[in-house]
Amino acid sequence: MSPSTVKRTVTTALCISAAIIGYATASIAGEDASPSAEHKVDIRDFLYNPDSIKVKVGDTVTWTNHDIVPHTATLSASDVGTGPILLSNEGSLEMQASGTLTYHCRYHPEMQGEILVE
Amino acid sequence: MQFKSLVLALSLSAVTLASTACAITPASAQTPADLNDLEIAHVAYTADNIDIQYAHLALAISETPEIREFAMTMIRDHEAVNAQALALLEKLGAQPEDNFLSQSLIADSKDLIDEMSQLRGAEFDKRYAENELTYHKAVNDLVGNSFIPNIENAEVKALFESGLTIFKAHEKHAEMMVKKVNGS
Ligand SMILES: [Cu+2]
Repeated sequence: MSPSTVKRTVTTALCISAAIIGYATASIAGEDASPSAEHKVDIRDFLYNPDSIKVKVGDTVTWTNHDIVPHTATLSASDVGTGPILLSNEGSLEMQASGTLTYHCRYHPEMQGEILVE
Repeated sequence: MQFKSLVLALSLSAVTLASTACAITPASAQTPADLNDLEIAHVAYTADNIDIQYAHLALAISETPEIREFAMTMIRDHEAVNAQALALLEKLGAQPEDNFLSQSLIADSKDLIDEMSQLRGAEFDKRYAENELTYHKAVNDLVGNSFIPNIENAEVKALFESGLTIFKAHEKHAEMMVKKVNGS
């Protein structure tokens, strides 16, 4: 698995312990750490919309498929992906490192998108 | 009259698609534009299944990863479209109706499967990819120019519009495959 992403279920478990530590730290330092955001991308008519998004490290990107056929969002460099996303379903990836990530659909290679992780 | 020349143009593309069966029929015979919604649904379902059969043949013969992945995508996508079509027909309480065009598509596909079954290796890959391009082009022409303008039921029309988007993507994908097997 690429260091830039982890599966969402794993992330959730890590977040819980991080939240406990984070809570203690925040109450001492008085910091207001910005919470991780979720970014939505629609898949419709074999296109990612928007096809380019800007996110921050720790944010999650969630793809919703509106097509009859299954698609994926698969990072081109690492081959890590959402797995098949069926009609009206979602798939997510958490962005764990900065950089520009290009991705494609494993089933329809002409489908391309980009995530700029800051 | 403009309508008549449109019908003629459509019959010509159907002749290309359905080959001899159409060519020998008299002028009064059916054209794709004469089919009703349930006959159109039957043609689409038949065309989907034919491409699924070609894909199964590819999985049985080809050892080229790109060809195999393409074939798996054809099976996955055409099965998904067929499942939607069946669900819609069930909702509408309708049965698809067999017709001349479905029959000539099946006859043509049998010949092609016989021919492709004899091929191996790069020869098979080339023939399969080229046929996928030709086949999707012909079906897209039929769906876009003949079926969609004539479908009466709005839900059936919407499904065909989604289908056309999918098959156009397949056509592009097949174009990529043809370039690949021809080494460019
Ligand atoms: Cu796709």
